[in-house]
Amino acid sequence: MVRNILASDNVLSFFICAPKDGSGVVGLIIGQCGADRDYVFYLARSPAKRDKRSSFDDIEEDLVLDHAKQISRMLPGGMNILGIVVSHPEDVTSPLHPKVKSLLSNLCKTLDYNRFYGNAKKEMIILSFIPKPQKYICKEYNISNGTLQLADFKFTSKKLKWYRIDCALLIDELYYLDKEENKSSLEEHIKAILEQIQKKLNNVEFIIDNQYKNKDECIESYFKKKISKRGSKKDDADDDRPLTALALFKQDFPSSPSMHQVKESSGSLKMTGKIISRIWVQSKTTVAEISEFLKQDIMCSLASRCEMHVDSLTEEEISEGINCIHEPPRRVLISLPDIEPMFSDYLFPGEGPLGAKTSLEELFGVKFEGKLISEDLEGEADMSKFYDSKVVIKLESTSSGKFMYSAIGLAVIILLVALLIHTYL
Amino acid sequence: MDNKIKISETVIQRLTYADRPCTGRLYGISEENNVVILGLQQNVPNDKTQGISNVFPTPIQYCATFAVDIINTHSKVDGKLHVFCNQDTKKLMVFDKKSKESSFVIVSDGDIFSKYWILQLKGSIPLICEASKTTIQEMFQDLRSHVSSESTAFKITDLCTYVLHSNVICGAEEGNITIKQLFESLSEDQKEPNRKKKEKVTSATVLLVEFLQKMSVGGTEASANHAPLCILDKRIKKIINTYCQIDTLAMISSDAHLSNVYRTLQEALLRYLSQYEEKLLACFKENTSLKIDPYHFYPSECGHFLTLLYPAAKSDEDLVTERLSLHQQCMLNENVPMFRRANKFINNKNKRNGPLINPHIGVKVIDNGGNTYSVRGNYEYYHYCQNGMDDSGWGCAYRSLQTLASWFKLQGYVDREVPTFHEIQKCLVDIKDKPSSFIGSKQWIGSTEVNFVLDTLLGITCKILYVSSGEEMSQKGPELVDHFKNQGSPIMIGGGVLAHTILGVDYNPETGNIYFLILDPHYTGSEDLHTIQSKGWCGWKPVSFWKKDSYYNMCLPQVPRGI
Repeated sequence: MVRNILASDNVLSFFICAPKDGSGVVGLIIGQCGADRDYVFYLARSPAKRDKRSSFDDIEEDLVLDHAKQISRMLPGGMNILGIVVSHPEDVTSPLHPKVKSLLSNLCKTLDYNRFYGNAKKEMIILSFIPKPQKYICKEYNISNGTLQLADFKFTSKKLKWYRIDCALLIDELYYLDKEENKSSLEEHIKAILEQIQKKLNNVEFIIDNQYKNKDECIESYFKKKISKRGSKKDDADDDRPLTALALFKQDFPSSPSMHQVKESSGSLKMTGKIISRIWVQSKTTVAEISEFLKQDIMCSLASRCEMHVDSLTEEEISEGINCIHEPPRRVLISLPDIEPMFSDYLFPGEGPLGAKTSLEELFGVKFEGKLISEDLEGEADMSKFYDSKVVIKLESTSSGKFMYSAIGLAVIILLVALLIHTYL
Repeated sequence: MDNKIKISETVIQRLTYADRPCTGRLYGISEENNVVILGLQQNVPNDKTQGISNVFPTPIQYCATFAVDIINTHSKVDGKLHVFCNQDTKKLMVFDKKSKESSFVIVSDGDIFSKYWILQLKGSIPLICEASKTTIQEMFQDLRSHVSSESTAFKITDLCTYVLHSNVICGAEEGNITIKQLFESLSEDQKEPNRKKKEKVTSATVLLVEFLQKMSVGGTEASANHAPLCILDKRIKKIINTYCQIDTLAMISSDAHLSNVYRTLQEALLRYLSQYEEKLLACFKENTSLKIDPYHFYPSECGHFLTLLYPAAKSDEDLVTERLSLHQQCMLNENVPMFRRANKFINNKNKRNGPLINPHIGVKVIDNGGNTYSVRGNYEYYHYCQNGMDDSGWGCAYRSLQTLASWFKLQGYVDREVPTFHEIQKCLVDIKDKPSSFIGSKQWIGSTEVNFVLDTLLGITCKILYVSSGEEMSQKGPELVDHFKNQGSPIMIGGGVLAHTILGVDYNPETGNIYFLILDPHYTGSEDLHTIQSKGWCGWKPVSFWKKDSYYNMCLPQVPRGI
């Protein structure tokens, strides 16, 4: 079967500013895979070192892959990077340009690298645009067996209709470190607690819009009910209403022989807070798929922010075997002009959404006119609540805001001892 | 309006059978002006074990006192009903809250089954905390307040319904129907049309409920209003690492609405947690495994469910004192085990692999004007061609033996699986009853061999009854009545021809008429209760069932005394 892809024609703006020289432009195709069709809602231009490049072979793969990695962190659940778009005077798909081939396979590897990011398909799309004479060629490249076949990429003048589902999830997870995990790094502890959360999420049922539906019913059915009831009365605006998902969790344990006893633990890691999840789906998306997308969104968001947090710490901060509070960046939802699904950005404590504007413009290859539209829904924690009596250190990622209570305490004691020694000797 | 007081048959039976004066509490369900008394607890002097108020399904609670004596001198407790049973005349008197004598109605098991449905709440909760008594208690305190909060939710799987704190999410069109109506509307499509459901209610209707926790919050709720933080605490400590397996029961009126279910289930959970905490702390103190398993029991003499928690580290043998106390408190026969693990309630409606349990329940009754006595407790129906083995024509006595062995297993008398054909044959070779070529052969066995095997493998002795012809079976009425009354085990009968299992007897001493409840091992079909009952593979048979020209031997397994 030929792969079917639909995009609203506002993504065409990608090609308008394509350079006329021979170097070409590479971008990422962002969208959602449906049962019989994929929906593309954005083409994001990948950064390139413009000056020295002259031919298509000079495209820096690393820049594109890094771009993909950053973008994939920002996508809502259910959205994926489906492939790459190339604007080039020549058709790069017949035969498939070796550069494109390598880009696609490495892209797939990059997306697959972090399993919390969800499922990169093994079939990547390549959309080739030839400026003269304005021609689009789309093919599907199968990474596993190297086959290439034509795909049907259509543009529509209508805006794609997206249905929005919201969920605010409370995370309150406690992970006890095994005796052997004493020597493990913070990154490993975080990985362990994320795995625990993922297991938990697998046992979560989402109830959407307080309605009981079977798993194979699609999102459209949530809006149909009221029509038949009151005859002709139909509220059109109702269709745009975002639906809320209720998460119900069923605890489930595999019994293991190591359980049910007193054991030694080398400490604990607690993750606590609220995570805002928001996904966008097409009308035929089923309840089961929505539930998968929400789970993917939550895990991806948690993993991304933890990864960003760990990346921002210094060597010493990571290896310190001390009690402390880590404050990973929070999720902020941002709107791109004329695009309905929103992207996520992650802000470190103290940062505001405006600071991120330039980096976003670079990532998405757009210029924001006027204010950046964003929703900062998760909020920063009031750290004073966590410090009441316990001696803990807060490790924030901005180096300026580091409170080392225990260190200060220790310093004070040393000072007092020194004073005493000084006084009595 | 007058109080309507209903008392279950089994409570009355136990009160009137009391052989010495006693006092105690009665437990039941109170709804507005109605009280249904379902259970009792006798005051046992010097009993140090825990009371039993926690073991009843919610919302059964202490609602009356009772006294059995020759004269009614016992003072009553304020605000409670009082029931007096005259030990000589066996007459029962009920006094209402104002000490005025009032009328009451006796209700049967069947009445209770159709009025109340059982919700079986299942789930689990992690129990991980620092290993100290106080932290464990704190953890349970937190759990209780968590359960009492709005974040608790339930899913009634059989009704396609989620019950939340403030609303009910249901697949049915209109929410305003009773549980029974909803259940019937959902099961209508699946039921085969030729089977009418106008059957007598013979067992409890159990609906499965899952315990769920709400993880999401409304956008505006203030709790944890910040992005996730990670708190790392690298202090070495001892922790307990276990979980609480939730399995508790609640009774709900079948004409109640779904919106009434939440509180009852929440209450059931809280009750269960208290019961669990107590057991867990005891295990913690004794430094044994923290695994605790819930068991539901439905002794027919009780007429209600009891949920007991047994620590995995303790064997049935270790728990004998606890069980004895329970038998005494509930005024139950102290010669018959009712609360061993093997006695646990088995819901026959659940699809299970393996043989059917108690296929005689619900068979067509006969009108003999006599007294019916039948097998006590559960057994499994073994018959030809099970587990892919074609023993048609020679295996009937083996199968009957297996049915007998399953009864001993399910009563908790023996702790071994039902012997296989190979084990049976090997046993007979081992005791030198048969040559070694017997193993793997298709030779049939008779009641003597059944007797040997039961004795060797299960340590059970049998009484053998002999009749020289089928007609003579009609004279065995009193002996069989006596067996089912005092032993209650199924009987294997074999002889010149076929082997069968006798599950019960209906004997009219005045007319001498006798019927036998027969379980036929020659059935070769699948485990289909409907066929088994309607085609007479299990059913009441007259004396003519036995062949006139054949002799018969009966194995009457003798049951050990004790709990």
